Amino acid sequence: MTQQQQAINPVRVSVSVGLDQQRCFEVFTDEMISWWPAGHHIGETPLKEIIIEPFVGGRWYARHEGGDETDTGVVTAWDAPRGFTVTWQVGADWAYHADLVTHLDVSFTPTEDGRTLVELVHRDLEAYGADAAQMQRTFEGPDAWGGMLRIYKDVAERAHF
Amino acid sequence: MLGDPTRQAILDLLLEGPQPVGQLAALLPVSRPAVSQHLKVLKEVGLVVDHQEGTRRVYQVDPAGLAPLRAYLERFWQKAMVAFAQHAENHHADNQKDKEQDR
Repeated sequence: MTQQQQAINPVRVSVSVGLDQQRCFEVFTDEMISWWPAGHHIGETPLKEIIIEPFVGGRWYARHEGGDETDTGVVTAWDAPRGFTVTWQVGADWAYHADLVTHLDVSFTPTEDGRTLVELVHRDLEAYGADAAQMQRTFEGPDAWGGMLRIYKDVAERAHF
Repeated sequence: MLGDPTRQAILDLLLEGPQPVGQLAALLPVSRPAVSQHLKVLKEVGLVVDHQEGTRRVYQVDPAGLAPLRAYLERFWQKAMVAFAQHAENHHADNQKDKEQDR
């Protein structure tokens, strides 16, 4: 995959949090299960734990109540408490794809008011383009993730470009 | 789909701008019919669109092909970050106390 293409803008979101940098980093990583949208997972049973192993090469994965585990990606940079980078290898079909590699950069920057600016960038979305045929087959298949498809369609119909 | 480097290469080239089939074939180590076949697949899944310009058929990336997914991710991350900030601030006092005791 090439790195120079810029046609698909990364998704960028940020939030100011009334905590110091260290604490923000810990809550974001160690306590991800406590704030992650509960319905947002790819397992057979509800989420129990979300683990980011705190080193380069570490796994980012979830443990579910039924004992199953689902992968999200791997750590590619770890610079606590300033930030980290992980891969996000979940397709729009809500399945993990070893060959679908996008990246999340999360940074934690102290601001003068004692708060922390948390910025998240989801980049390399071009990878989804190359995976679109697979996504489409999953959408159309008998095991389609109905809820996800509805969300996807809902967004598609509202999108004006 | 990602497993096919030619298709990825075609998509990469088209992300830089619209191209006729002949030009894509000239830039890639595959035959023109092969390029046409890949373009047909990319068109079927809604990633590229084409139009006639004189005697040439010009292909380009369909911006709507990825835009819905991007819009979905944007909405998801926004929601996740707001949930994170709320949780972090709501539990700050308790957690901070625990941390201090740990140290």
